[in-house]
Amino acid sequence: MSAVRIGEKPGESRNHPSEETLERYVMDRLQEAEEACVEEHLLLCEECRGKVEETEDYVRAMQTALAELEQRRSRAAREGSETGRKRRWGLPRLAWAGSLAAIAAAIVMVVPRNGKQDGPVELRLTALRGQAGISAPAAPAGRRLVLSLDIEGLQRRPAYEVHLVGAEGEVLFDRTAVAEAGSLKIDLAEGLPAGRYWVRVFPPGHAKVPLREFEFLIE
Amino acid sequence: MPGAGAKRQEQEPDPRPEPGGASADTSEAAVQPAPEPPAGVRWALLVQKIQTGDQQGMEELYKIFSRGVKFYVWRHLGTRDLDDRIHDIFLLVVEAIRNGDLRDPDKLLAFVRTVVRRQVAGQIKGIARQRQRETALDTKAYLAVDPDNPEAQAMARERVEIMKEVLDGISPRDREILTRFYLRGQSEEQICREMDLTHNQFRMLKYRAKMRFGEMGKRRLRKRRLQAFFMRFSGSR
Ligand SMILES: [Zn+2]
Repeated sequence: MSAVRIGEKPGESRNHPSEETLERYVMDRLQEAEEACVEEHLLLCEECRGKVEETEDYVRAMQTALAELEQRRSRAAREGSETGRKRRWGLPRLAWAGSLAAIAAAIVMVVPRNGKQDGPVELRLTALRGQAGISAPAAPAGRRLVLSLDIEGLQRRPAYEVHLVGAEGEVLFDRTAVAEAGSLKIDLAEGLPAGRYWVRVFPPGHAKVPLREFEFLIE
Repeated sequence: MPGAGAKRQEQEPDPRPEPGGASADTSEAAVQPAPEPPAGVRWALLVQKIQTGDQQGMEELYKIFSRGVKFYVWRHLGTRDLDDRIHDIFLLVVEAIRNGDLRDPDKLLAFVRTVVRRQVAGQIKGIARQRQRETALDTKAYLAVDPDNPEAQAMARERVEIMKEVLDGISPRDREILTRFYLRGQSEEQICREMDLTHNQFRMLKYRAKMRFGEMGKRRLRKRRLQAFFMRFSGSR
């Protein structure tokens, strides 16, 4: 943890965490020992507690703005390619499944559970997005859907809050999910109608800075 | 576009006050020593007072830690039952100290943090189990701020609009870098590797966005109450 000395009163020497450290604290990206240091400091330092709140506001504004701009762009792109999309949906089932497999290799796996054609589909969403412009992963509409969200690299917490967000930015539900073996599972028994969706993972409780966001399509 | 952006950033000095410039998300692990107790407080003496049941010691403990503990609990569990939760945590801390669970009084700070974290984690698990049983979809609006506080909501919305202006004014490549970091949860290391950036360029981009946010906020909200908030971001760097 890098530190600066600011706002010291006479006779008081306090190493305040740097802004960058506080930002990573807010975003849940500190290693355990660093996090312990920051939290111990926060127990005693009013000034840094204020900075944590400011940083949270900033990060939240950034994330919301980025998400909204992304939604705006993908909506524009979708409207622009509506004709092409309709044609693609008309492809025979096998060809559609093939193109899905190609996406799966890159960032997602769509796994029919129990091998049944009409059984639940598992959509594994990972945080690693190698290249810009890669298509969002997709799953079929109306099928029971199990979202498996990659939370590797986040602080280990017993549970997270998960929001499912629709194309207009509306929250379709929020749910608390228990972390298991580096992922969160969300079971959507009813499936979802066709459309574009985002899943946002938040730390549990009051803090509302999303830690991770995943995009996927239902077709 | 990327080339031009990268060059421009390379020529700028590092704006950050701290030296060294450490590192990606995982390597900035030069952990600080535990913070000193507040002026005039000695942990050993305070612990001794609590162990002997001294009322003044307990008041002192509460005075030193109550705001910090409250902040932690509030961030993780919200305002509901907040005072009761703080009260319970203090009882636990005092009880544990009296039971001799704290062997080294100089570790009081770490000890309090551990008790608080355990308590909060336990409560979160309970809440999670309870909520897992609730499967119905609900259409609660996406509110990152207190839903009962329209002013806070308006301010949050305003910050988002200003941020959108900031983001509209930067290159698509820079926007992608910020998206990867803030939205996708990618590490600084990964972003620098995949986007061919130095750590300094990466930090400069983040710093500029923050400065711009502060400037635009000030300009736009000069005569409004939000000004105080944005002053903190742009005035003091
Ligand atoms: Zn501080």
